[in-house]
Amino acid sequence: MKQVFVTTGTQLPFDRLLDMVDEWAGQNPQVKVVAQSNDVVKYSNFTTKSLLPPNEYKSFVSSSDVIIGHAGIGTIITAHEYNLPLVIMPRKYELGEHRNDHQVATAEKFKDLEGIYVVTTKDELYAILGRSNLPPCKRKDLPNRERLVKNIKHLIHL
Amino acid sequence: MKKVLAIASGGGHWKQLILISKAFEGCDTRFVTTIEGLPEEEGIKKYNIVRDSNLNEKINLIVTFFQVLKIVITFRPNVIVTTGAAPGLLAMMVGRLLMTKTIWIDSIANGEELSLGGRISKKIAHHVFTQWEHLADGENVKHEGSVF
Repeated sequence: MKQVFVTTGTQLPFDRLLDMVDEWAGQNPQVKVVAQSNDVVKYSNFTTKSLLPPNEYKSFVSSSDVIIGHAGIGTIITAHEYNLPLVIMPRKYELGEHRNDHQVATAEKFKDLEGIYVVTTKDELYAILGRSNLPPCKRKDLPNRERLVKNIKHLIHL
Repeated sequence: MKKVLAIASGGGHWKQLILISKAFEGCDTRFVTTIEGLPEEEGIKKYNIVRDSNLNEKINLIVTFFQVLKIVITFRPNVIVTTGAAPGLLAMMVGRLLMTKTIWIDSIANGEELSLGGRISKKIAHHVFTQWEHLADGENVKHEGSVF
């Protein structure tokens, strides 16, 4: 593993996850960590960028070996676009990390997809990052998407 | 040619809108989002950027509302399609005011219950879709596929 891309979305901070990644990065100086987050906290072992312009975002993602993120849909779609393994930690409402617990639900729904690794604790996160082989997200046949597209198209022309 | 206004806030909502953008083929489509650079990334030339807002930010909501209103009045779409969140909901309201067909597609992130925007859209949008089969109610909320 040479580079890890961390993303926690554009709206809310998620320092619980970033603190864990910071500690891990300190123990693994050979890995370059790039983080996109609107956290204002300074981390010792990587730099955070608040809102990456889309082209920089793209270039960081495409040169990374794994993505670590919150359980946001944008993150899940990105991991599929770039065929990367994705480690996700859902934000928790009780810790003030989001407006509700929908990320816990999202993580639950997506946890069985190939290439997605859901973690809730530091130990689980480090265990996944310590694995020598992490199969990535794969593009699959998407009959559900075709169906949605067809139906919206039909409604537009109705 | 049908004119479509396709709107979503930046991030996951925008990505989902792009994933279904084949639905707009053959239409005169204008995209609206909240982050500079996103439309260019997709090679989209016809777009507007509006201020991001969420339901806790009243001032931003008002600014976004008037930005969306201006875009709809100028572009005069036949249909407004959104995948959320707050800017999309405002577009549903504007569409309702201006008698334009409105379609709300609830984000796939909402697998336990419909988003707040989706629940409000049930009352104001012409069509509301959920991407989770078990959230369809057989009446106002339909399930007709999902981005995954």
